[in-house]
Amino acid sequence: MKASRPNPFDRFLSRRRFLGEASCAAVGTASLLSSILNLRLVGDVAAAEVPADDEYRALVCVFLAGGNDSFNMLAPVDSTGYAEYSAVRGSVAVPQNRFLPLGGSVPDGRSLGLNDSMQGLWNLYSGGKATFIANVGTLVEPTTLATYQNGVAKLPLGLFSHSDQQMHWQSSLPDSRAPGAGWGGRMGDLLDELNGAGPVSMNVSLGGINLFQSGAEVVPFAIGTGGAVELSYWNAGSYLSRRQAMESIMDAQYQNAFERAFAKMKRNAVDANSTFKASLASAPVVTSPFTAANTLSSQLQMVAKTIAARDVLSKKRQTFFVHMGGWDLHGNIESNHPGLLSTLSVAISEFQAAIAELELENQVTLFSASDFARTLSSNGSGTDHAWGGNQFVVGGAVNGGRIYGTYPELALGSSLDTGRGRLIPTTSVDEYFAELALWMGVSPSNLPLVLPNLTRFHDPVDGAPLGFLMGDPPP
Amino acid sequence: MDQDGDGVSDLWQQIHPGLDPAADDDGDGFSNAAEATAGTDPFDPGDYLKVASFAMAPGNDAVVFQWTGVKGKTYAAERFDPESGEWSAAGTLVADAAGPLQMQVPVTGASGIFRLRAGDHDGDGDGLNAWEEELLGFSDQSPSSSGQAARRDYSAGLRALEGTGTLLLADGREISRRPPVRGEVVRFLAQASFGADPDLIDHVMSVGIGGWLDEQLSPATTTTTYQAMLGQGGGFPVWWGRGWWKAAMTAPDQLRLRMGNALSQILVISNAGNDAIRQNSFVQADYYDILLQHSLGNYRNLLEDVSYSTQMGFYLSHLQNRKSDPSIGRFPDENFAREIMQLFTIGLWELNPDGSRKLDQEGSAIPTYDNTTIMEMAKVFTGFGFGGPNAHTFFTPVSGNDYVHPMKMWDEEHETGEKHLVNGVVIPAGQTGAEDIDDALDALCAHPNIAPFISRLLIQRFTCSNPSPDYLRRVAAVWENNGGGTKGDLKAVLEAILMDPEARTPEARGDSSGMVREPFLRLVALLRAFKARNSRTPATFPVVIADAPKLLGQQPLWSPSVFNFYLPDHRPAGELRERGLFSPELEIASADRLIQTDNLLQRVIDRGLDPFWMPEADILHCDFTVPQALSADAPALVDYLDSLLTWGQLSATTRQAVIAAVQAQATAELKVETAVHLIVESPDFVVLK
Repeated sequence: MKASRPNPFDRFLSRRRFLGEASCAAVGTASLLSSILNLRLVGDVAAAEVPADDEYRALVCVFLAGGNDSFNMLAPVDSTGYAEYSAVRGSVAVPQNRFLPLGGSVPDGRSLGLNDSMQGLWNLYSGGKATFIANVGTLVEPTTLATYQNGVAKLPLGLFSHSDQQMHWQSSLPDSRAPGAGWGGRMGDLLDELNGAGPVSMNVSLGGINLFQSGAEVVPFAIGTGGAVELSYWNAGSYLSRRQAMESIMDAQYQNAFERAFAKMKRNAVDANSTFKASLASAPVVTSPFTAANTLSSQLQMVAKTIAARDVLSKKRQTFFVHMGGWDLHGNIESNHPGLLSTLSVAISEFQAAIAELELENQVTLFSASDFARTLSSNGSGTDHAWGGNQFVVGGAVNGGRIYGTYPELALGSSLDTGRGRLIPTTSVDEYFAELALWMGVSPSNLPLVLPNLTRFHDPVDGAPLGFLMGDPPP
Repeated sequence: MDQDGDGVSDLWQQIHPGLDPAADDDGDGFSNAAEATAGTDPFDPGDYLKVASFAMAPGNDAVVFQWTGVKGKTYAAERFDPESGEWSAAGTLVADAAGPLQMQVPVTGASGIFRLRAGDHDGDGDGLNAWEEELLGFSDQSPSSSGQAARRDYSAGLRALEGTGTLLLADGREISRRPPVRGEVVRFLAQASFGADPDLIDHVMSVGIGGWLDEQLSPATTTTTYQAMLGQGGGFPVWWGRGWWKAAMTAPDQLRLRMGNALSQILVISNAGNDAIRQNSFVQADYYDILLQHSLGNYRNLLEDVSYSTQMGFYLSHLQNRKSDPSIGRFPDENFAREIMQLFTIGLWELNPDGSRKLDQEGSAIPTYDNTTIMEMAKVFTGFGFGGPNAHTFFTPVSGNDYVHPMKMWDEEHETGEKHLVNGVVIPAGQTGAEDIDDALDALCAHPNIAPFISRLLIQRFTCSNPSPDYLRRVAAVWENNGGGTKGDLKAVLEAILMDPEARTPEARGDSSGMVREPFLRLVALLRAFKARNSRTPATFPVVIADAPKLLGQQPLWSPSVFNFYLPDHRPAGELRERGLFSPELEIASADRLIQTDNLLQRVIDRGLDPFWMPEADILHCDFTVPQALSADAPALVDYLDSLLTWGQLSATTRQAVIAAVQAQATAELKVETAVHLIVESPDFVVLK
């Protein structure tokens, strides 16, 4: 006799209808996840197609939250190109002499330069260990200005909105607002059987719980820059009865779904932290210096320490998620952006040095992601949310020293400009991520399980979409 | 009305006090609960739902049931299908009056098995069933039929039933009213205040939930964090924390303050990494007090003050936002224009009144606006410069305490052309900036989305993460019209959120009921339950807790971005995601925080709240005098803590585990610390269901 029900006889019907709707709403995601799991149960895909080699591989995602103004990071510096840049960027244009020239030119003859706040990244590029992917962004399908304007193109949901675009960059499913899993999580579901058993996830996050690393089975293990933490009463003999009681409380069966979720998360946290702490304690020490005051450096230092513990943790494949905020520069971009770029570049250089110390330069690849680039035109003191932008990839495995993708024309009113210099991406995140996933060992035939929309842009049988990591670079 | 969650109407239980729902007092074969459902007399063995006659209709194409009905009850005939083994509905009827009823059910085959069931019906969808409305003298045709214009029937019904003395029912019976129940009061206070303490519990037990709500909705004291922080001493940039804490810990207008906390997670500004705000406690206090000032007022007025606040202008950069100058490629800043629509008013998708998305003919969700609308809205919010006595032009920079003055509109920098906003609203060219902003805020507040969109966010801050469409529809209806024709009346909306069957009935939605409580508020609830104070006279309170964002993931006005600490649509991996259930608060429950929160709470319980390694005189200590006196008797100690912290619903496993741990401790101090720590870290306390 619950008073709220409109008709008591509908009760069971309503429940069934509710469940039916719930499963319909999630049908795309659910079927995708279960197809991965089913294939694994069959023991078919993953076991047969995952590379047999014994080599360790790790992918590090550097997420620049808020939308990096990446056209002030990577800009044309030849006289014609810079003039176009300077005209469109107006008061937020970086002076020509503040760019470090990058070797090689883009096919249309323009030369590009890197913001001189990023000396470390420039060194890596010049040494062939870094590259840039130009004008990459979220796309549901190949999109032109005409199909954008006449409404024919299916567009990423919530274009230009932080929360949506961060979600899309992490799920690579920009046509869904309830993706359920991220592409790193789906990749983890496929690759995790290369790893040994243990409570510590192959997906480790220094940036909190995130969608990118969330799969059906593999979920992120989120830690702080101090590494593992322990309950202060866990190993103290005088607290033994408290520990025993807490164990029964965590392991009890609860009637309520939120109680169950909380108890399980806490139990996992206790077990994973404990294993993680012990593993790091017995791993080789990383001596390369990291700048303590640099918030990204301290995250990457913990990543390097975790990688050093890969054998103790019995991991052959890992992903890492690090997070840096502050990029949403609607104002004061001139005074704030160079400092952010510098912090970023210093942290990456320090990380690469540590990875070199571990002799894993060819086995660890770092890549950037960000909500979007920013409007090419300014609002007086900053820039607003846009779409396609420039990203970088760093590591010994990278076919570096050159630019991939197509660096766009910058003038307002170009064939990519949807208004104010919000550019339609010419490379989709699916193509960008497909190459990273292939390098991690996902087979071409399994790629659509990780990146369901990829085939709209690229046929996996054709090999690597861009060539920055896999195979020979294009001429 | 089922505040004890036993599945039987509280009204029926007051008519028949002391009856065990599972028993069958009159021995007629129908349990007391079944008689409650049928509206029959549990003491009369001859009164139960029975079919008086059952015969074929003339023509042999239907059967006719006849029975004696109870007014307000619903009756359903059902047919048994021997193939599937299931009953299916064959016809329903609502009894408009007591007396003989009949129903005709078509027959298709040569034989059939039928049954008749009685049940309840809520024709007006207000949460009271027709039988209850009938007895209370209300009508099941209208959700506001109690004669109290500003109050919905469910709330009026709860208030009528609650208390001491007698209640005269519409059928002439006089029954005892239902006194407040301690567990229900403590659970209510977990939703509506920063936490129960023994004195507050006693007070609500004496005035009732309805009575306390009346006090809270028209509070005699209206606390400001500015006043509360004064007189507590130093630490200028982080001083405001003292005001927040003192208000939360000691102020009587608790519901208003809880609403301030909720609003600060919707109309977000943050001190994290934001120097102009962080470095000035007056500026922080001023913004939070704007939220408090309107927390029982109207959302339209709140939105206006927030839009004009220099803090928001700084945070979302519409401060010194200039009109377009296409000649140099300069366009207005779109930051605030976007977020005021996406986060503060209407959201991204067209919504039905129950919060579900409207769909177009192809079954796709319909965006509320596109990027052109944002660019147009950005033009509205041009021309704001600093206000206050020291601002002389649009460009005058000010600093420090001048951030407390609202921004001033400098029309020479306001874009004057026509502006096309949401829902076809067009702002004419040539208006002043202030007129444009009025029109734009009116357009957003008139949009049908705002009621379900903001109502849902508020429900998630108070009662549950996954409100049913019916619950959301009931609250949104009050947002649309408070009973007196006013939209966005937050006082009425709050009452609708708290006095709803889904909020007042424990486990109203089965095992997906309720929510994970915010970690920061769990800390506050712990400190309130034991009236934690320091040894200063008068007591002072903490400045901001340096580690709180790291350890708990939260601190007031300290979210990492305008998207708050967590997203309303976060679905944690595992069972919750598979079932499509949201749990915003679990988004910040990372593995390290789950451990660090536990360690922090243990430290607070064992040694006191010591945010900055302050002198002993500054450290807040819980007062464990009462539980320590009980500590020799472990079950009694745990029962006491259960009644204070977990509304008497501690699970059997947790209870046993805590008792065993208490019995292993040597001293009264350790027994109490152990018990409190284990309970506040148990799922029983963490989840409010």
